[in-house]
Amino acid sequence: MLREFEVSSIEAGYFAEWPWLPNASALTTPVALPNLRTLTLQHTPFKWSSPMLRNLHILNLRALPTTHLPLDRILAIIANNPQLQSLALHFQGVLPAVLPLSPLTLPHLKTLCVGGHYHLTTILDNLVLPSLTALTLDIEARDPIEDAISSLLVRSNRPPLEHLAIAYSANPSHTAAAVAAAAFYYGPGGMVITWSQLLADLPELKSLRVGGTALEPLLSALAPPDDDALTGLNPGPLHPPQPNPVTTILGVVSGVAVGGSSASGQGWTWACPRLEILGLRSCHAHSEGVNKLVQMVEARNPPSSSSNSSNNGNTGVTSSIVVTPVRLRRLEMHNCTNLGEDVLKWLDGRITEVICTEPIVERYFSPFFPLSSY
Amino acid sequence: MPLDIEIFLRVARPKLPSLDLSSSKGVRRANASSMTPLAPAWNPAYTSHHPSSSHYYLAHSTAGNVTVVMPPSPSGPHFETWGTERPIVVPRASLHWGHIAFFYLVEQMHRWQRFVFRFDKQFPSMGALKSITGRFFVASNFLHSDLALFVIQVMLLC
Repeated sequence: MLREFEVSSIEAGYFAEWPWLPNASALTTPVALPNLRTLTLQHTPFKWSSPMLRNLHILNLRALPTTHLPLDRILAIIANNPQLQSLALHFQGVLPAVLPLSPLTLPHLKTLCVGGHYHLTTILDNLVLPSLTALTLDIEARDPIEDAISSLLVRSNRPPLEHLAIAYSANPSHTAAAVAAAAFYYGPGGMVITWSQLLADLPELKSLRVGGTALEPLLSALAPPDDDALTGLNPGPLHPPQPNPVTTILGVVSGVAVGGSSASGQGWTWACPRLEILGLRSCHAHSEGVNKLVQMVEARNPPSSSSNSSNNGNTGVTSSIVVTPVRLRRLEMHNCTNLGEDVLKWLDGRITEVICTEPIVERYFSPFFPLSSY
Repeated sequence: MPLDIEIFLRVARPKLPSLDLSSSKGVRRANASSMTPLAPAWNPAYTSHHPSSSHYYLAHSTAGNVTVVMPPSPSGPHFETWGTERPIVVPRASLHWGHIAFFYLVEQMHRWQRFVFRFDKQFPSMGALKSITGRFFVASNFLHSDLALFVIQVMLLC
């Protein structure tokens, strides 16, 4: 009978002994829940081997901060639900694996959200997700996370990822101070150093939401290809662009210097040509940040008068070579930098939806020099 | 008849008309527009792109909405930090409403098709959740034609 069960608390409270169904043992409590497909438990106690955590299609677990599961048991929870379509896991306390981990394929998983302890990156490293379209990561960053994402995509045979969010959780219960403290202790959750390579691997991406990263490298990676090559701000290809007859022709068509689309995918074509939504939260800018933003928008959203609507309607994606990216439809910037009235107005003229909130604190923690504010 | 149960336990904001305790006796009809979904915006799973919150709208479409407005919580030893400054006259029902509600809900557990319970913070009778055990989920034959939707919105006034 029971198809969906949810108990969610916003507050992470204290639960002593809590003998309820999610804590039941499969051995002592034979529970028949053959139709349960959707389960959400947030800030409530549960047992990793509970009979509730079986054969689910949608699972959303936000463990209590006092819960400390080893990685292999977290992976076992996932393994007990091979038909998962949507999975959200948030664990603040995670212990290293006791039993050895083995790769796990979830053929139907479309949506994955992982947040909390930095050990959870290891969970990512053991998943194969050929159907993945949306990935949300709010993992405390100890190491740059782009390698984990890239290897997940490669291992999963490059699923058509359309939505990517890194350290963007809009948690109102996190005050600015808490966010700053997290950045102080762990570095920002969105620690990504080399955006160009990661984004070049995401041709289907429609929305990108990022928190706590430096603005310039990200915007440079989204900028026109020639910008990348000329400014050399990014750790671009180590080798010079190899002229390629096909891409050279297309490069002429698009009016930009398109180099060889190298196998390593490093920025000689537009990154994320289908990108429509860009969200930035607490992305601090250095001197060039606003310039980079304007350049990127100028390139992706040229003035409406000169833009050929039929051209834009065609998306401009032919085979793997991009001629023109689609226009950005929505830009959100929260606590990033003071753009100024003029820049905001200009952005408003180019992008359908612009949502911008000014920084709460003037000086934000730098991820590279977290102590500099102290 | 299967049951679709939603219980949202929210901390009422001050200056809401529902603060009028004289109207808090018993059960009254909810104004559908007053029942805004309890959007767990803090949850990345909800705030992200996938429209998983479709079931919130059930609350607006049903005629069976019930809003239970509870008197203020007592400030027991565990809940002192919640600090209500008003003088408190605590009816016993406010201590035990969870047990009372769950007593009846759990009795019908074999009819549960969907159970959703969201709350802002811990409350005195939260132990009633422990009554959700597996023993009531016995296999039984039901006609799946009808679905009763019970939406209970509990306001915890602090």
